Amino acid sequence: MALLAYAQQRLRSFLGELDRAAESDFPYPDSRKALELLRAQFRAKLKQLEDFTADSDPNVVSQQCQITLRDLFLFLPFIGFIVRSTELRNAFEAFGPFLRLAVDVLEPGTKLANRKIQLVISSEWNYSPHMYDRIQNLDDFLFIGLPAPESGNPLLLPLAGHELGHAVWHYDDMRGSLQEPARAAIVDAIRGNWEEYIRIFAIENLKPDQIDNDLAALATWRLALNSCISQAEETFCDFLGLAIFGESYFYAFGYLLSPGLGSRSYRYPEIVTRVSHLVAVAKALGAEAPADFVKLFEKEVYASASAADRFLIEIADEALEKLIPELCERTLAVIKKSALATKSIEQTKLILDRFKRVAPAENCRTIADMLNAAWMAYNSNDLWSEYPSMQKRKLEVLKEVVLKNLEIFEIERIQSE
Amino acid sequence: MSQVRTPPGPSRLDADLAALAAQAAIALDNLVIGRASDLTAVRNLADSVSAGLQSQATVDPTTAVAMQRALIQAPNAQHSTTVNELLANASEFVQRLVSVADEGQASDEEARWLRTVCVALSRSAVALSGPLYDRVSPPLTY
Repeated sequence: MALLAYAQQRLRSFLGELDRAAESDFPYPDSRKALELLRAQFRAKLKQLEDFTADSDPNVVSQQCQITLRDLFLFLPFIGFIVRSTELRNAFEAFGPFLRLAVDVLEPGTKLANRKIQLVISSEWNYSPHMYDRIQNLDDFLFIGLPAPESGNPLLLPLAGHELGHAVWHYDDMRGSLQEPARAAIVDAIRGNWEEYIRIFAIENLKPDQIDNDLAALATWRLALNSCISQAEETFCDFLGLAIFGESYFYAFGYLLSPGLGSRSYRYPEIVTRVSHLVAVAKALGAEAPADFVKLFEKEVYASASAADRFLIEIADEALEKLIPELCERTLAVIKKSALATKSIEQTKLILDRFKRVAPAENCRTIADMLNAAWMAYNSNDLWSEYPSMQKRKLEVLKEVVLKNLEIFEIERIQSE
Repeated sequence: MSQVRTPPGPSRLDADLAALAAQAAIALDNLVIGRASDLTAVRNLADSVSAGLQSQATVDPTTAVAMQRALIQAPNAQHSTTVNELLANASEFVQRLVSVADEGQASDEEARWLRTVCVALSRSAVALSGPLYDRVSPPLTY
Protein backbone atom coordinates (compact mmCIF):
# COMPACT_ATOMS: atom_id res chain seq x y z
CA MET A 1 0.00 0.00 0.00
CA ALA A 2 1.88 3.10 -1.26
CA LEU A 3 -0.07 5.37 1.07
CA LEU A 4 1.24 3.58 4.14
CA ALA A 5 4.78 3.28 2.80
CA TYR A 6 4.88 7.01 2.09
CA ALA A 7 3.59 7.83 5.57
CA GLN A 8 6.16 5.53 7.21
CA GLN A 9 9.01 7.00 5.18
CA ARG A 10 7.94 10.57 6.05
CA LEU A 11 8.08 9.67 9.73
CA ARG A 12 11.53 8.06 9.35
CA SER A 13 12.82 11.23 7.66
CA PHE A 14 11.31 13.33 10.45
CA LEU A 15 12.96 11.15 13.09
CA GLY A 16 16.27 11.55 11.23
CA GLU A 17 15.89 15.31 11.56
CA LEU A 18 15.17 14.92 15.27
CA ASP A 19 18.36 12.85 15.62
CA ARG A 20 20.37 15.61 13.94
CA ALA A 21 18.73 18.25 16.15
CA ALA A 22 19.72 16.26 19.25
CA GLU A 23 23.39 16.84 18.35
CA SER A 24 23.05 20.61 19.08
CA ASP A 25 24.83 22.15 22.08
CA PHE A 26 22.09 22.75 24.61
CA PRO A 27 22.72 25.65 27.01
CA TYR A 28 20.21 24.31 29.55
CA PRO A 29 18.70 20.83 29.97
CA ASP A 30 15.05 21.71 29.29
CA SER A 31 15.50 21.92 25.48
CA ARG A 32 17.31 18.59 25.30
CA LYS A 33 14.67 16.95 27.46
CA ALA A 34 11.88 18.25 25.19
CA LEU A 35 13.61 16.86 22.12
CA GLU A 36 14.10 13.44 23.74
CA LEU A 37 10.42 13.24 24.64
CA LEU A 38 9.42 14.17 21.09
CA ARG A 39 11.70 11.52 19.64
CA ALA A 40 10.01 8.89 21.81
CA GLN A 41 6.59 10.17 20.76
CA PHE A 42 7.33 10.03 17.03
CA ARG A 43 9.01 6.62 17.32
CA ALA A 44 5.74 5.38 18.83
CA LYS A 45 3.80 6.90 15.92
CA LEU A 46 6.08 5.11 13.44
CA LYS A 47 5.70 1.83 15.32
CA GLN A 48 1.93 2.19 15.08
CA LEU A 49 2.11 2.59 11.29
CA GLU A 50 4.53 -0.34 11.03
CA ASP A 51 2.07 -2.51 12.96
CA PHE A 52 -0.64 -2.21 10.30
CA THR A 53 -1.04 -5.40 8.25
CA ALA A 54 -2.69 -6.34 4.96
CA ASP A 55 -5.80 -7.18 6.99
CA SER A 56 -6.08 -3.67 8.49
CA ASP A 57 -9.09 -1.68 7.39
CA PRO A 58 -8.07 0.72 4.58
CA ASN A 59 -10.18 3.55 6.03
CA VAL A 60 -8.50 3.21 9.43
CA VAL A 61 -5.05 3.16 7.83
CA SER A 62 -5.83 6.15 5.63
CA GLN A 63 -7.17 8.20 8.54
CA GLN A 64 -4.15 7.45 10.73
CA CYS A 65 -1.84 8.40 7.83
CA GLN A 66 -3.74 11.71 7.61
CA ILE A 67 -3.36 12.33 11.34
CA THR A 68 0.40 11.65 11.23
CA LEU A 69 0.78 13.89 8.18
CA ARG A 70 -1.01 16.65 10.08
CA ASP A 71 1.37 16.06 13.01
CA LEU A 72 4.36 16.61 10.74
CA PHE A 73 2.92 19.94 9.61
CA LEU A 74 2.21 20.94 13.22
CA PHE A 75 5.41 19.73 14.86
CA LEU A 76 8.13 20.60 12.34
CA PRO A 77 8.12 24.35 13.12
CA PHE A 78 8.20 23.38 16.76
CA ILE A 79 11.36 21.26 16.31
CA GLY A 80 12.94 24.31 14.63
CA PHE A 81 11.97 26.31 17.69
CA ILE A 82 13.84 23.92 20.00
CA VAL A 83 16.92 23.98 17.78
CA ARG A 84 16.93 27.79 17.69
CA SER A 85 16.67 27.92 21.49
CA THR A 86 20.31 26.81 21.51
CA GLU A 87 21.57 29.75 19.43
CA LEU A 88 23.80 32.39 20.96
CA ARG A 89 21.51 35.24 19.86
CA ASN A 90 19.21 34.28 22.78
CA ALA A 91 19.44 36.38 25.95
CA PHE A 92 20.40 33.50 28.24
CA GLU A 93 20.64 36.00 31.14
CA ALA A 94 16.83 36.17 31.15
CA PHE A 95 16.31 32.42 31.35
CA GLY A 96 16.82 31.88 35.10
CA PRO A 97 14.83 34.91 36.32
CA PHE A 98 11.94 34.18 33.96
CA LEU A 99 11.90 30.51 34.97
CA ARG A 100 11.64 31.58 38.63
CA LEU A 101 8.77 33.88 37.75
CA ALA A 102 6.96 31.07 35.90
CA VAL A 103 7.39 28.74 38.88
CA ASP A 104 6.12 31.45 41.26
CA VAL A 105 2.96 31.71 39.16
CA LEU A 106 2.37 28.10 38.13
CA GLU A 107 3.87 26.21 41.08
CA PRO A 108 3.88 28.74 43.91
CA GLY A 109 6.03 27.76 46.89
CA THR A 110 7.96 25.13 44.91
CA LYS A 111 11.76 25.24 45.03
CA LEU A 112 13.42 25.51 41.65
CA ALA A 113 15.10 22.12 42.09
CA ASN A 114 11.71 20.48 42.64
CA ARG A 115 9.83 22.23 39.85
CA LYS A 116 7.81 20.39 37.26
CA ILE A 117 7.77 23.40 34.93
CA GLN A 118 10.31 23.25 32.11
CA LEU A 119 11.10 26.35 30.10
CA VAL A 120 12.48 26.81 26.61
CA ILE A 121 12.99 30.36 25.34
CA SER A 122 13.97 30.91 21.74
CA SER A 123 14.91 33.74 19.43
CA GLU A 124 12.46 33.27 16.56
CA TRP A 125 12.06 34.37 12.95
CA ASN A 126 8.52 35.47 13.67
CA TYR A 127 7.92 39.06 14.68
CA SER A 128 5.20 38.22 17.16
CA PRO A 129 6.15 36.85 20.59
CA HIS A 130 4.47 33.49 20.86
CA MET A 131 4.28 30.25 22.73
CA TYR A 132 3.58 26.58 22.27
CA ASP A 133 2.09 24.79 25.24
CA ARG A 134 0.26 21.62 26.25
CA ILE A 135 1.97 19.41 23.75
CA GLN A 136 1.35 15.72 24.27
CA ASN A 137 3.85 14.22 26.73
CA LEU A 138 5.31 17.70 27.23
CA ASP A 139 2.53 19.08 29.40
CA ASP A 140 4.89 20.83 31.80
CA PHE A 141 6.90 22.62 29.13
CA LEU A 142 6.53 26.30 28.26
CA PHE A 143 8.01 27.20 24.90
CA ILE A 144 8.26 30.97 24.57
CA GLY A 145 9.45 32.58 21.35
CA LEU A 146 10.67 36.15 21.06
CA PRO A 147 11.28 37.95 17.75
CA ALA A 148 14.93 37.64 16.69
CA PRO A 149 15.63 41.39 16.32
CA GLU A 150 14.38 41.95 19.89
CA SER A 151 15.29 38.68 21.60
CA GLY A 152 18.30 40.35 23.21
CA ASN A 153 16.19 43.28 24.38
CA PRO A 154 15.25 42.69 28.04
CA LEU A 155 12.88 45.70 28.00
CA LEU A 156 10.45 43.50 26.08
CA LEU A 157 10.47 40.72 28.68
CA PRO A 158 7.07 41.84 30.05
CA LEU A 159 5.56 40.49 26.83
CA ALA A 160 6.70 37.03 27.92
CA GLY A 161 4.29 37.59 30.84
CA HIS A 162 1.46 37.53 28.29
CA GLU A 163 2.78 34.20 26.98
CA LEU A 164 2.95 32.87 30.54
CA GLY A 165 -0.73 33.81 30.76
CA HIS A 166 -1.51 31.20 28.08
CA ALA A 167 0.03 28.54 30.33
CA VAL A 168 -2.05 29.71 33.32
CA TRP A 169 -5.15 29.73 31.10
CA HIS A 170 -4.62 26.07 30.29
CA TYR A 171 -3.37 24.95 33.72
CA ASP A 172 -6.45 26.44 35.36
CA ASP A 173 -8.71 25.13 32.56
CA MET A 174 -10.20 28.57 32.04
CA ARG A 175 -11.47 27.59 28.61
CA GLY A 176 -13.57 24.91 30.27
CA SER A 177 -14.87 27.12 33.04
CA LEU A 178 -15.64 30.06 30.73
CA GLN A 179 -17.33 27.94 28.09
CA GLU A 180 -20.74 28.21 29.75
CA PRO A 181 -20.82 31.99 30.38
CA ALA A 182 -19.31 32.62 26.94
CA ARG A 183 -21.91 30.38 25.32
CA ALA A 184 -24.71 32.14 27.20
CA ALA A 185 -23.36 35.54 26.15
CA ILE A 186 -23.20 34.45 22.48
CA VAL A 187 -26.76 33.10 22.56
CA ASP A 188 -27.98 36.33 24.23
CA ALA A 189 -26.20 38.43 21.61
CA ILE A 190 -27.79 36.45 18.76
CA ARG A 191 -31.25 36.79 20.31
CA GLY A 192 -30.63 40.52 20.65
CA ASN A 193 -29.84 40.72 16.93
CA TRP A 194 -32.42 38.17 15.82
CA GLU A 195 -33.71 39.75 12.61
CA GLU A 196 -30.21 40.21 11.25
CA TYR A 197 -29.27 36.63 12.22
CA ILE A 198 -32.28 35.15 10.40
CA ARG A 199 -31.70 37.38 7.37
CA ILE A 200 -28.07 36.21 7.07
CA PHE A 201 -28.36 32.52 7.94
CA ALA A 202 -31.90 31.88 6.68
CA ILE A 203 -32.78 28.87 8.84
CA GLU A 204 -36.46 28.18 8.19
CA ASN A 205 -38.93 28.25 11.09
CA LEU A 206 -36.19 28.78 13.70
CA LYS A 207 -37.37 30.56 16.87
CA PRO A 208 -35.10 32.49 19.27
CA ASP A 209 -35.60 29.89 22.01
CA GLN A 210 -34.31 27.15 19.68
CA ILE A 211 -30.97 28.81 18.94
CA ASP A 212 -29.03 26.70 21.44
CA ASN A 213 -30.77 23.40 20.69
CA ASP A 214 -31.06 23.33 16.90
CA LEU A 215 -27.97 21.67 15.40
CA ALA A 216 -28.16 23.62 12.14
CA ALA A 217 -28.18 26.84 14.18
CA LEU A 218 -25.36 25.59 16.43
CA ALA A 219 -23.20 25.00 13.34
CA THR A 220 -23.68 28.69 12.38
CA TRP A 221 -22.52 30.20 15.68
CA ARG A 222 -19.83 27.77 16.90
CA LEU A 223 -17.19 29.95 15.19
CA ALA A 224 -18.44 32.99 17.13
CA LEU A 225 -18.04 31.05 20.36
CA ASN A 226 -14.52 29.97 19.37
CA SER A 227 -13.69 33.59 18.55
CA CYS A 228 -15.09 34.85 21.85
CA ILE A 229 -13.13 32.31 23.90
CA SER A 230 -9.96 32.95 21.94
CA GLN A 231 -10.38 36.71 22.47
CA ALA A 232 -11.03 36.11 26.17
CA GLU A 233 -7.79 34.10 26.41
CA GLU A 234 -5.76 36.88 24.78
CA THR A 235 -7.41 39.45 27.04
CA PHE A 236 -6.66 37.41 30.16
CA CYS A 237 -3.02 37.05 29.04
CA ASP A 238 -2.78 40.83 28.61
CA PHE A 239 -4.26 41.35 32.06
CA LEU A 240 -1.83 38.89 33.65
CA GLY A 241 1.16 40.46 31.89
CA LEU A 242 0.02 43.86 33.16
CA ALA A 243 -0.60 42.58 36.70
CA ILE A 244 2.85 40.96 36.89
CA PHE A 245 4.92 43.69 35.24
CA GLY A 246 2.94 46.89 35.73
CA GLU A 247 3.69 49.91 33.56
CA SER A 248 6.54 48.19 31.68
CA TYR A 249 3.88 45.94 30.11
CA PHE A 250 2.22 48.99 28.54
CA TYR A 251 5.52 50.33 27.21
CA ALA A 252 6.66 46.97 25.83
CA PHE A 253 3.22 46.48 24.21
CA GLY A 254 3.29 49.93 22.66
CA TYR A 255 6.87 49.51 21.44
CA LEU A 256 6.17 46.22 19.71
CA LEU A 257 2.67 46.63 18.32
CA SER A 258 1.71 50.28 17.82
CA PRO A 259 -0.09 51.40 15.69
CA GLY A 260 -1.34 47.85 15.01
CA LEU A 261 -1.45 45.77 11.84
CA GLY A 262 -4.57 47.30 10.30
CA SER A 263 -6.53 44.11 9.62
CA ARG A 264 -8.74 42.48 12.20
CA SER A 265 -8.13 38.88 13.34
CA TYR A 266 -11.05 36.84 14.68
CA ARG A 267 -8.73 35.40 17.37
CA TYR A 268 -7.93 38.76 18.99
CA PRO A 269 -9.96 41.71 20.17
CA GLU A 270 -9.75 44.62 17.75
CA ILE A 271 -6.52 46.39 18.75
CA VAL A 272 -8.06 49.68 20.01
CA THR A 273 -10.61 47.66 22.00
CA ARG A 274 -7.78 45.45 23.28
CA VAL A 275 -5.69 48.33 24.63
CA SER A 276 -8.81 50.09 25.93
CA HIS A 277 -9.52 47.03 28.06
CA LEU A 278 -5.97 47.21 29.41
CA VAL A 279 -6.32 50.87 30.29
CA ALA A 280 -9.72 50.26 31.88
CA VAL A 281 -8.44 47.57 34.27
CA ALA A 282 -4.99 49.06 34.91
CA LYS A 283 -5.78 50.54 38.32
CA ALA A 284 -7.50 47.38 39.52
CA LEU A 285 -4.39 45.43 38.51
CA GLY A 286 -2.01 47.82 40.27
CA ALA A 287 -0.67 49.75 37.28
CA GLU A 288 -1.04 53.19 35.80
CA ALA A 289 -1.68 53.54 32.10
CA PRO A 290 0.60 55.99 30.26
CA ALA A 291 -1.22 59.14 29.11
CA ASP A 292 -2.84 58.78 25.68
CA PHE A 293 -1.78 55.14 25.40
CA VAL A 294 -4.85 54.23 23.33
CA LYS A 295 -4.01 56.97 20.82
CA LEU A 296 -0.90 55.03 19.78
CA PHE A 297 -3.18 52.57 17.97
CA GLU A 298 -5.33 52.70 14.83
CA LYS A 299 -8.62 50.84 14.58
CA GLU A 300 -8.38 47.57 12.67
CA VAL A 301 -10.72 46.82 9.76
CA TYR A 302 -12.38 43.52 8.83
CA ALA A 303 -10.84 41.85 5.78
CA SER A 304 -13.92 39.76 5.02
CA ALA A 305 -16.81 41.31 3.12
CA SER A 306 -19.09 38.43 4.06
CA ALA A 307 -22.12 39.49 6.09
CA ALA A 308 -21.99 36.17 7.98
CA ASP A 309 -18.33 36.67 8.99
CA ARG A 310 -19.01 40.22 10.13
CA PHE A 311 -22.07 39.19 12.09
CA LEU A 312 -20.22 36.36 13.87
CA ILE A 313 -17.27 38.51 14.90
CA GLU A 314 -19.58 41.30 16.10
CA ILE A 315 -21.49 38.77 18.20
CA ALA A 316 -18.19 37.46 19.59
CA ASP A 317 -17.10 41.02 20.43
CA GLU A 318 -20.39 41.74 22.18
CA ALA A 319 -20.09 38.54 24.22
CA LEU A 320 -16.47 39.35 25.16
CA GLU A 321 -17.51 42.64 26.75
CA LYS A 322 -19.65 40.71 29.24
CA LEU A 323 -16.65 38.58 30.25
CA ILE A 324 -14.20 41.45 30.97
CA PRO A 325 -15.01 41.88 34.71
CA GLU A 326 -14.70 38.11 35.19
CA LEU A 327 -11.33 38.06 33.39
CA CYS A 328 -10.05 40.86 35.63
CA GLU A 329 -11.21 38.98 38.74
CA ARG A 330 -9.52 35.83 37.58
CA THR A 331 -6.26 37.71 36.99
CA LEU A 332 -6.32 39.07 40.52
CA ALA A 333 -7.00 35.57 41.84
CA VAL A 334 -3.96 34.21 39.98
CA ILE A 335 -1.74 36.94 41.42
CA LYS A 336 -3.10 36.32 44.92
CA LYS A 337 -2.46 32.59 44.61
CA SER A 338 1.08 33.11 43.26
CA ALA A 339 4.33 33.41 45.19
CA LEU A 340 5.35 36.56 43.29
CA ALA A 341 7.07 39.28 45.35
CA THR A 342 5.11 42.53 45.32
CA LYS A 343 6.46 45.16 42.97
CA SER A 344 6.96 48.64 44.41
CA ILE A 345 7.61 52.15 43.19
CA GLU A 346 10.21 52.70 45.93
CA GLN A 347 12.27 49.73 44.73
CA THR A 348 11.83 50.85 41.14
CA LYS A 349 13.21 54.29 41.99
CA LEU A 350 16.23 52.77 43.78
CA ILE A 351 17.00 50.66 40.73
CA LEU A 352 16.51 53.69 38.46
CA ASP A 353 19.10 55.59 40.51
CA ARG A 354 21.61 52.81 39.77
CA PHE A 355 20.73 52.80 36.08
CA LYS A 356 21.37 56.55 36.00
CA ARG A 357 24.88 55.70 37.16
CA VAL A 358 25.12 53.08 34.37
CA ALA A 359 25.26 50.37 37.01
CA PRO A 360 23.09 47.36 37.86
CA ALA A 361 21.35 47.21 41.23
CA GLU A 362 21.81 44.61 43.94
CA ASN A 363 19.06 43.01 45.99
CA CYS A 364 16.23 43.58 43.52
CA ARG A 365 13.06 41.92 44.78
CA THR A 366 11.34 41.43 41.43
CA ILE A 367 12.26 41.63 37.78
CA ALA A 368 9.12 43.76 37.38
CA ASP A 369 10.76 46.55 39.44
CA MET A 370 13.88 46.19 37.30
CA LEU A 371 11.98 46.45 34.02
CA ASN A 372 9.80 49.32 35.22
CA ALA A 373 13.01 51.17 36.15
CA ALA A 374 14.45 50.32 32.73
CA TRP A 375 11.45 51.84 30.95
CA MET A 376 11.53 54.92 33.19
CA ALA A 377 15.18 55.32 32.21
CA TYR A 378 14.40 54.80 28.54
CA ASN A 379 11.57 57.33 28.63
CA SER A 380 13.70 59.96 30.37
CA ASN A 381 15.08 62.61 28.02
CA ASP A 382 17.75 63.52 30.60
CA LEU A 383 19.23 60.07 31.05
CA TRP A 384 23.02 60.24 30.71
CA SER A 385 22.82 63.77 29.31
CA GLU A 386 26.25 64.37 30.81
CA TYR A 387 27.62 61.56 28.60
CA PRO A 388 26.54 62.54 25.05
CA SER A 389 28.20 59.59 23.33
CA MET A 390 26.44 57.20 25.69
CA GLN A 391 23.14 59.01 25.35
CA LYS A 392 23.28 58.48 21.60
CA ARG A 393 23.39 54.73 22.23
CA LYS A 394 20.90 54.88 25.09
CA LEU A 395 18.92 51.74 24.30
CA GLU A 396 21.99 49.63 23.56
CA VAL A 397 23.69 50.64 26.81
CA LEU A 398 20.48 50.24 28.80
CA LYS A 399 19.97 46.72 27.41
CA GLU A 400 23.47 45.74 28.60
CA VAL A 401 22.90 47.20 32.07
CA VAL A 402 19.56 45.40 32.44
CA LEU A 403 20.97 42.09 31.19
CA LYS A 404 23.79 42.45 33.71
CA ASN A 405 21.20 43.19 36.38
CA LEU A 406 19.28 40.02 35.46
CA GLU A 407 22.51 38.03 35.87
CA ILE A 408 23.11 39.55 39.31
CA PHE A 409 19.48 38.87 40.28
CA GLU A 410 19.93 35.21 39.36
CA ILE A 411 23.30 34.86 41.12
CA GLU A 412 21.83 36.35 44.30
CA ARG A 413 19.00 33.81 44.17
CA ILE A 414 21.39 30.91 43.61
CA GLN A 415 23.58 32.08 46.51
CA SER A 416 20.59 32.40 48.82
CA GLU A 417 19.61 28.81 48.04
CA MET B 1 0.85 27.73 51.04
CA SER B 2 -0.72 28.43 47.68
CA GLN B 3 -2.03 25.57 45.64
CA VAL B 4 0.24 24.12 42.96
CA ARG B 5 -1.46 23.87 39.59
CA THR B 6 -1.54 20.71 37.53
CA PRO B 7 -2.30 20.66 33.83
CA PRO B 8 -5.79 19.37 33.00
CA GLY B 9 -7.20 17.49 30.07
CA PRO B 10 -5.83 16.50 26.72
CA SER B 11 -3.06 18.31 24.93
CA ARG B 12 -3.63 20.88 22.26
CA LEU B 13 -1.42 19.66 19.43
CA ASP B 14 -2.05 15.97 19.43
CA ALA B 15 -4.59 14.35 21.73
CA ASP B 16 -7.55 16.16 20.19
CA LEU B 17 -10.83 14.60 19.13
CA ALA B 18 -9.55 13.72 15.64
CA ALA B 19 -6.50 11.88 16.99
CA LEU B 20 -8.43 10.19 19.80
CA ALA B 21 -11.06 8.91 17.37
CA ALA B 22 -8.37 7.63 14.99
CA GLN B 23 -6.64 5.81 17.86
CA ALA B 24 -9.93 4.25 18.93
CA ALA B 25 -10.56 3.16 15.32
CA ILE B 26 -7.16 1.40 15.27
CA ALA B 27 -7.95 -0.43 18.52
CA LEU B 28 -11.35 -1.52 17.19
CA ASP B 29 -9.82 -2.60 13.88
CA ASN B 30 -7.43 -4.82 15.78
CA LEU B 31 -10.43 -6.41 17.47
CA VAL B 32 -12.08 -7.01 14.08
CA ILE B 33 -9.02 -8.72 12.60
CA GLY B 34 -8.45 -10.77 15.73
CA ARG B 35 -5.26 -9.14 17.01
CA ALA B 36 -4.67 -8.50 20.69
CA SER B 37 -5.85 -4.95 21.29
CA ASP B 38 -5.30 -2.42 24.05
CA LEU B 39 -8.67 -0.66 24.31
CA THR B 40 -7.49 2.32 26.36
CA ALA B 41 -7.98 4.55 23.29
CA VAL B 42 -11.63 3.45 23.09
CA ARG B 43 -12.16 4.45 26.72
CA ASN B 44 -10.34 7.77 26.16
CA LEU B 45 -12.59 8.61 23.21
CA ALA B 46 -15.69 7.77 25.26
CA ASP B 47 -14.46 10.11 28.02
CA SER B 48 -13.72 12.91 25.56
CA VAL B 49 -17.10 12.71 23.78
CA SER B 50 -18.89 12.54 27.15
CA ALA B 51 -17.02 15.61 28.41
CA GLY B 52 -17.93 17.62 25.30
CA LEU B 53 -21.59 16.56 25.22
CA GLN B 54 -22.79 16.59 28.81
CA SER B 55 -25.89 18.75 28.62
CA GLN B 56 -27.65 21.19 26.35
CA ALA B 57 -26.38 24.11 28.41
CA THR B 58 -22.71 23.12 28.29
CA VAL B 59 -22.42 21.32 24.97
CA ASP B 60 -19.20 22.02 23.05
CA PRO B 61 -20.51 23.08 19.61
CA THR B 62 -17.53 21.71 17.68
CA THR B 63 -17.79 18.29 19.31
CA ALA B 64 -21.55 18.37 18.72
CA VAL B 65 -21.27 19.16 15.00
CA ALA B 66 -18.47 16.60 14.54
CA MET B 67 -20.54 13.92 16.28
CA GLN B 68 -23.66 14.78 14.31
CA ARG B 69 -21.81 14.49 10.99
CA ALA B 70 -20.17 11.21 12.05
CA LEU B 71 -23.49 9.62 12.96
CA ILE B 72 -25.00 10.73 9.63
CA GLN B 73 -22.32 8.65 7.88
CA ALA B 74 -22.82 5.55 10.07
CA PRO B 75 -25.19 2.84 8.80
CA ASN B 76 -28.38 2.41 10.83
CA ALA B 77 -27.55 5.31 13.18
CA GLN B 78 -30.22 7.64 14.53
CA HIS B 79 -29.86 11.08 12.95
CA SER B 80 -30.21 14.22 15.04
CA THR B 81 -31.53 17.67 14.26
CA THR B 82 -31.48 19.07 17.80
CA VAL B 83 -28.89 19.09 20.56
CA ASN B 84 -31.16 17.05 22.82
CA GLU B 85 -31.51 14.34 20.17
CA LEU B 86 -27.78 14.37 19.58
CA LEU B 87 -27.06 14.03 23.29
CA ALA B 88 -29.21 10.91 23.40
CA ASN B 89 -27.63 9.40 20.28
CA ALA B 90 -24.09 10.30 21.38
CA SER B 91 -24.79 8.86 24.81
CA GLU B 92 -25.72 5.55 23.20
CA PHE B 93 -22.50 5.64 21.15
CA VAL B 94 -20.47 6.37 24.29
CA GLN B 95 -22.15 3.49 26.17
CA ARG B 96 -21.29 1.13 23.35
CA LEU B 97 -17.65 2.29 23.44
CA VAL B 98 -17.50 1.89 27.22
CA SER B 99 -19.02 -1.55 27.00
CA VAL B 100 -16.34 -2.71 24.54
CA ALA B 101 -13.57 -1.12 26.61
CA ASP B 102 -14.84 -2.75 29.81
CA GLU B 103 -15.40 -6.19 28.37
CA GLY B 104 -12.29 -6.21 26.18
CA GLN B 105 -14.31 -7.72 23.35
CA ALA B 106 -17.23 -7.12 21.01
CA SER B 107 -19.14 -8.96 18.33
CA ASP B 108 -17.70 -8.56 14.85
CA GLU B 109 -20.70 -6.49 13.79
CA GLU B 110 -20.47 -4.21 16.82
CA ALA B 111 -16.72 -3.64 16.46
CA ARG B 112 -17.12 -2.86 12.76
CA TRP B 113 -19.96 -0.38 13.39
CA LEU B 114 -18.02 1.44 16.13
CA ARG B 115 -14.92 1.47 13.92
CA THR B 116 -16.91 3.12 11.12
CA VAL B 117 -18.23 5.82 13.44
CA CYS B 118 -14.75 6.44 14.90
CA VAL B 119 -13.21 6.95 11.45
CA ALA B 120 -16.08 9.25 10.47
CA LEU B 121 -15.73 11.17 13.73
CA SER B 122 -11.99 11.61 13.22
CA ARG B 123 -12.59 12.85 9.66
CA SER B 124 -15.30 15.30 10.64
CA ALA B 125 -13.19 16.61 13.55
CA VAL B 126 -10.24 17.17 11.18
CA ALA B 127 -12.52 18.98 8.74
CA LEU B 128 -13.99 21.22 11.46
CA SER B 129 -10.52 22.17 12.75
CA GLY B 130 -10.10 24.08 9.47
CA PRO B 131 -7.57 23.83 6.65
CA LEU B 132 -4.03 23.24 7.88
CA TYR B 133 -2.71 25.62 5.22
CA ASP B 134 -4.77 28.42 6.75
CA ARG B 135 -3.75 27.68 10.31
CA VAL B 136 -1.55 30.12 12.13
CA SER B 137 1.78 28.72 13.26
CA PRO B 138 2.85 29.15 16.01
CA PRO B 139 -0.57 28.65 17.59
CA LEU B 140 -0.41 31.28 20.34
CA THR B 141 0.99 34.55 19.07
CA TYR B 142 1.05 37.81 21.01
